Amino acid sequence: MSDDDVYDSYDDYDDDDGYDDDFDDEYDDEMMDDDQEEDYEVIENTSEHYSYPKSQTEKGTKTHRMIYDPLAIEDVEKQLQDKIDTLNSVLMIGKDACALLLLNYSWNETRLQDLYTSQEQEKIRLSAGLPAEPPRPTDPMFAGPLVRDADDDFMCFICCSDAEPNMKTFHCRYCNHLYCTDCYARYVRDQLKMKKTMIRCPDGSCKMNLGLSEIQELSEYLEEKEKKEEEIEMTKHTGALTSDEIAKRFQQDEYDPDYQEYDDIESIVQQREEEDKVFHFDERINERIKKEKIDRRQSTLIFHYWYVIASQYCNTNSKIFKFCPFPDCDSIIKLKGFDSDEVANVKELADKLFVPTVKCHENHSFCYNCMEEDHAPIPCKMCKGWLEKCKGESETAKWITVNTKVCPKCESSIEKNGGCNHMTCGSCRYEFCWICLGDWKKHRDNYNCDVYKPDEAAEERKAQTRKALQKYMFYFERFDNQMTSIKKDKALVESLETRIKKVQMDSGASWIESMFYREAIETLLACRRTLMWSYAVLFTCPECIGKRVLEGVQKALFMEVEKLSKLFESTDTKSVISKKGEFQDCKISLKRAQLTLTDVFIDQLVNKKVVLEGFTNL
Amino acid sequence: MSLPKRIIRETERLTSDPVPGITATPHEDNLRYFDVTVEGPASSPYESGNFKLELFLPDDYPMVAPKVRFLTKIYHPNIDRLGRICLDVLKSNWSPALQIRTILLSIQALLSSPNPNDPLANDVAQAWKDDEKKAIVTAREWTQMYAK
Repeated sequence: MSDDDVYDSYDDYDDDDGYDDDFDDEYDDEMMDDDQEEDYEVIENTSEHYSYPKSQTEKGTKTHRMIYDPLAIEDVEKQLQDKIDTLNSVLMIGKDACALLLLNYSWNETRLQDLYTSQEQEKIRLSAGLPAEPPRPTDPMFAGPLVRDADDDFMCFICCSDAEPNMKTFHCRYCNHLYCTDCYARYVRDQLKMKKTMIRCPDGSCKMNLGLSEIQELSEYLEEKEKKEEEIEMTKHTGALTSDEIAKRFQQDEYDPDYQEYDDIESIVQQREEEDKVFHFDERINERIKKEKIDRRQSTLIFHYWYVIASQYCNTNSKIFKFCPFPDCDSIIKLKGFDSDEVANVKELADKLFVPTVKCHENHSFCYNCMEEDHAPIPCKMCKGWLEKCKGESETAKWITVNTKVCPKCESSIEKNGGCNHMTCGSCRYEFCWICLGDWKKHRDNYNCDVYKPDEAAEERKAQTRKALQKYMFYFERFDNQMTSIKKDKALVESLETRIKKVQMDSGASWIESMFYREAIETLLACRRTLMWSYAVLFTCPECIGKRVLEGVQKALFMEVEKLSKLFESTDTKSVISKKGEFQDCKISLKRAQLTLTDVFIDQLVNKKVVLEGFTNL
Repeated sequence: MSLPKRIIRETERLTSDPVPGITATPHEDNLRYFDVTVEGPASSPYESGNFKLELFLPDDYPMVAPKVRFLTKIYHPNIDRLGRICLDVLKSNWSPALQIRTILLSIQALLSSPNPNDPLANDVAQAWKDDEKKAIVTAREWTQMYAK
């Protein structure tokens, strides 16, 4: 198989779920066979996600891929709803009861079913905040709405307000502890803020828990109430009309001159739509959907409740579910398994020096083991060591001790970057000899310092430190350079929307057509990251043949990164569209280089062709 | 800020229908701040002691629990030397339907049944576990010394 074939299949992977089937067949002997695949019952027939693309298999690292599923939190909610439905179809005790039981038994439905059908039913029900006996659905006691008009002699025990017109009360279905809806809602919100999923009746002695449908009912009532209040507010502030008033107004034929300005509204709307057609960005829509989702979750009780349930579920099953560590992202990665029997969990995978990079629902790449931003090809342990080393002030301090001397008078640090030994301190103007640090006047213009007596052992040590330091500085500068570039490129991405707008305007291209620009920049960012970490790997890599191999692929990636980066710099917005082909070619070869690099690096590390040194002795 | 109806009603009830063995009087200049005394429950090492506490109702009361602290020194595994109390209803199990009186009753009940397995004052809890009799004697001594 030629190289090109490998990359083609990678491209397939990148585009979507489709793997090259021929590719599979050719490598059947080495790769997971069909029987093995059946062991993973969790695998659904939808698209599968792997921590490595399949071309990784070429180097013999094939069967250690992590299989995962990127989920939105809503998907988890849906799964839990299904669990409730399934349990209810067996026990037939209502969804509310099933949900509470499952919550109380950490969603372990098998255990719950066993227990519930044994004699302990009553105990289990009570501990989940349910009435001891399943109430008959026809019981009139428990029928009817939970939100009711307050009786005349009602007093809310929380706010101590007496009944007044329009006051409503709410209570749990199976108890009769009434509180006003305002207090109840606030109580439930507070409980949700504390991430409680089993919400008790506020009464201290009552053991009943609120069920899903009960919270739903309260939530619906609150929403309606809020809507009404908003309408009233609107009427007050803007003079907008309620439906009644509109009806009234239409009966009068008088024309109100104040409303003239609204004549323009149609043209404004039309203009907006035109604009939207041109700048109809996916991002903008996604952003809006996301914001709406969060708003909805915060304002609507029942959505908030489900969110708390789902996130708690993920947190309690943290071996399988992990939240995306990116800020404001609540995507979840569900671990489905590995395509190898040798690996049982992510930690073992990481111990074998693989990097389980995953991509979440929102397209953020991160390492599933250490939950840091994607750091392939460097293994988690070394990544941590490197970051600690970079963070440590000690490196700076070490650099200062090796490269600078202290002015004997004022103690400022001085770096000698050339010239003779006659030093004049920049801050206190003290003149001294660089070598012996003695007063220069005593030297009597004598450039050969007589006072100097070399301490060979110390010099040796110093030379060694200096050597190690130089090595560190060499790689750190390159690492840091990429990091700075990433930051700068990120700023570029932020201004990207405006740039793409310009691209579109200047060239008259559609949004889809100019997507390549964004893709190219994202590829560049990802590759810079890979390149950045490859420097850290090389730093810990002892001198050997393997290192030369690594350096080779690294250089290839570096060249590609530079090429695309240069293309971005040199292309003005007008000619971007005409250079589309060039951008895409660059992007594809860059991706190839990135893939080769991770492939080669991980192969060398995992198969111990190169054994990295720790950070302790450096 | 005017005082919520809830606090007014509770204060009224505390004076008109006081809980036996417990007093709670609000400060005149701050009606959210209460001076509290709790009698040590009978047949406990705190018997015949008269313990002073302070109680404050935060702005969000009754949605959040009142803040309560012992002012009198007390030898108890769930009360530290600053007088802070480890009690579920003051923390996670607070419910807005609970009241000042119920909280104070809970505190009184805590004096009857110390729980060294969920300690706040580690040294006291350890002493309690190692030699309960001796710990009770110390608690009695402290009651005599400080809560008279």
